[in-house]
Amino acid sequence: MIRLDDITKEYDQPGPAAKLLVATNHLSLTIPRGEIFGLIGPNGAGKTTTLKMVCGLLAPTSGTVTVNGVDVQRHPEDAQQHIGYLADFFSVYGNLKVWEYVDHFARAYKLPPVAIRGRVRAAISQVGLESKFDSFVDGLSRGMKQRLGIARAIVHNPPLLVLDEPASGLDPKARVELKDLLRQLHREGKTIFITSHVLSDLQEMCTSVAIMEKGNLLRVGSIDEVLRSAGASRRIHLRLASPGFDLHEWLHTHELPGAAVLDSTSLEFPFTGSDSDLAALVRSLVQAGAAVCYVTEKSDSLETLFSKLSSGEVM
Amino acid sequence: MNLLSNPEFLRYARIQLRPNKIVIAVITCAVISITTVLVVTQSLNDYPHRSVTGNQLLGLLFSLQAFLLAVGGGVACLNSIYSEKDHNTFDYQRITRLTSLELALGKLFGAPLLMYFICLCFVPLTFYAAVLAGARPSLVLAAYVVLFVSSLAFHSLTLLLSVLIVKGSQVTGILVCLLLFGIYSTDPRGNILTIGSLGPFAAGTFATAESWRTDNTYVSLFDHFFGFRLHHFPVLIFIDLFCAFWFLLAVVRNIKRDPQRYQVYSPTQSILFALTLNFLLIGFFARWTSVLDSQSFFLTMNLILFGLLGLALLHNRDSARGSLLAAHHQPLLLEALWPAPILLAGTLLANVLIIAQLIRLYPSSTGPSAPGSFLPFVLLRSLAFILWITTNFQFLQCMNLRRGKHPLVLGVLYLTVYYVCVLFVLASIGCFRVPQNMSVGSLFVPSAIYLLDRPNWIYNPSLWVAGFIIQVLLLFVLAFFQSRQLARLKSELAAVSTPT
Repeated sequence: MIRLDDITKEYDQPGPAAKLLVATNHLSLTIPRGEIFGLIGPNGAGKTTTLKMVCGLLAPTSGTVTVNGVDVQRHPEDAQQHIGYLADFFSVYGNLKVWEYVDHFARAYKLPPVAIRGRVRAAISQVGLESKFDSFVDGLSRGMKQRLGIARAIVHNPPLLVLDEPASGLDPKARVELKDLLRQLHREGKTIFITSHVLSDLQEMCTSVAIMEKGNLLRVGSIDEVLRSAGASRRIHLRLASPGFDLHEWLHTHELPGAAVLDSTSLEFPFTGSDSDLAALVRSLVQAGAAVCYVTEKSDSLETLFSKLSSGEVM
Repeated sequence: MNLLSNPEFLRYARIQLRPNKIVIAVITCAVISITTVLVVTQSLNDYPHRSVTGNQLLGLLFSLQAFLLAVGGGVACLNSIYSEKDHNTFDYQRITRLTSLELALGKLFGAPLLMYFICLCFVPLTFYAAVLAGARPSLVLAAYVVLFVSSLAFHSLTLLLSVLIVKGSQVTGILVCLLLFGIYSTDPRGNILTIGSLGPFAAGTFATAESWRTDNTYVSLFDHFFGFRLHHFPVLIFIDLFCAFWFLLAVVRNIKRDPQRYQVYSPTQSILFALTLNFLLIGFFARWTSVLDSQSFFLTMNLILFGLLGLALLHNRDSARGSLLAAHHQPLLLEALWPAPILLAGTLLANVLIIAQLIRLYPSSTGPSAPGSFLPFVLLRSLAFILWITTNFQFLQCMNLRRGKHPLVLGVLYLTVYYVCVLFVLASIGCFRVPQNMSVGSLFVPSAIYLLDRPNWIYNPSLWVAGFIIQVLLLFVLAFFQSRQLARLKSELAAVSTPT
């Protein structure tokens, strides 16, 4: 769906001590259809620049971007019909009514005149703003304006949504609603390219992620792949149904470096083996007479991994 | 896509023509109209010259409508893109499937829609004044056409300004807009030009003219183009549409572009635009006092014209980087000399046109067999102009490739400070008063453009020649500095070009 080929974008940093700023440095990335792809990075990592280049709003200094097989620089209008874009700021025409706002973009995306009315209603109801259909945009809350922004982005039914920090400035309830909406759009077959500072949200939603810093791509892949590639270890938490089994003694007979008995019924240890190794280990514990009632895996969160990458703890 | 189904036009219509706004506009205009009719009816009892009163009212009404439509609409156009950039909504416009032309036309006709509507509300009062004045209906209609077309040209210009101005310069933009409106509305007909006003206030002239053939000392509806007598109406319509076309072309070229990559016109378009304007200027030029004074006028006009086009041609660091990367980091000869070749070609062709016209107008002063022919001085002045424009823009290009917040503004400031200081010093030592000293000035400023003539030349020809040589040398020195700037930019690119 999206292909970035060796994209470089350079700016001059403003100010007296101006320096060359490489917003994206030879970035190559492919995002297949149907993904929810999260782009993670601190402020100034080059996320927004990347998204804007995907949408054809910024021209790369070098390299090419294709969306759905269309070169964005050469044929921007053809590429843009496949894209729904939401910027990282609330920006709407306050002096239009909700339906007028969505209708304007339906026309601007050149939907067939007979389909416009239906698409406008569908987009507005999809984001749950039916009750505000005839209200002025100025009177909407932040969360509603953000949902209206998404209605604008999906009114032409694009296969790709490019969302830059869609959750920023939203209250927890609005964030949950937004996540549900994005999941629903994903189920409908849309590819979603999203950036967010709320990494837990991304970890919950995304099928793949990329981590960027200072214009460079540090990691790309599915969340599991990314976590593993950074050497993130799995931590296994085991709980017994009742006390009585001597976990310390069992540990003497099994080599589990770093294992810790939390209490008489709980054990936690880092595990580097495969899933079948883990199954064998649990079986041996059960055979030794332990009433294992709960086994769960704890892995590093994206947030932990990101802070490790940022601090250079993991290369 | 026709205008009424243009989404951008429709958006403006929805915002500006809401029933409450319409009602307020209609009531206000109705109150003004009724009051005016009552006052005029009352005044006719004391001063029974209906046609004089009617003519005055008609002229006033057209001036009011011209001001409303051109300035009000101009400010609306100026805000149309600028304010969208300010409110971060413009990216959403750029990403739609509207073509640049559709977007530009939607804004051009949509942004001043309320002003069009208010003018429409004044039409009944205007018709009343026209009936009172006994004005010819065809001339009143022509006046409205003039009002519309000239406003359109001005709106296109302000729309272009709206594309180009950056955040935080809205007040400057409005001031520039008003200044341009003042220049545009001036009636240039006089000793130098044989053409009437091209601005929206010309509508009043048409409406109050006695007939289509009016041509007297006070009011003339005729212009002279290369000696041919032409009616002002088609001339005005042609030139205003011509200007609207060129301004709109620049808007369309840039409206959906990455702002870092704005390029007002392509080099060919720039030259073509400059030459066509020169052709019109030359065509409407009347013979002036002397061949050298006439040339000074043309060169001053071209100074403004090439000054603006030169600024539009300059490359910024981003476009220079793009060129270097596209050429696989090889230095580009054209990039190092930019924009000298285009400016040299443009100014050279413009001067060929000017000189040809001067030879036609002043055969006795410029002819090869004329005693004391001015032709060599005309040629030298043109050469000085070409070199001066080119070196100055070469300098500004060098400055624009420097890293900094506003390198071009700084470059213009340096140039201004240099010229002001040098001119003060030269004036204080009598360089521009004493013929013997005038040639000294040419070493520091291009005084040859305005001061070089036979009496001044003979005092010290070698210094004048030295002035020319300095300009040529300066051109090469600046090209060298520019190539160094590019080399630095290239090395920076090489430093960051290793993929991570």
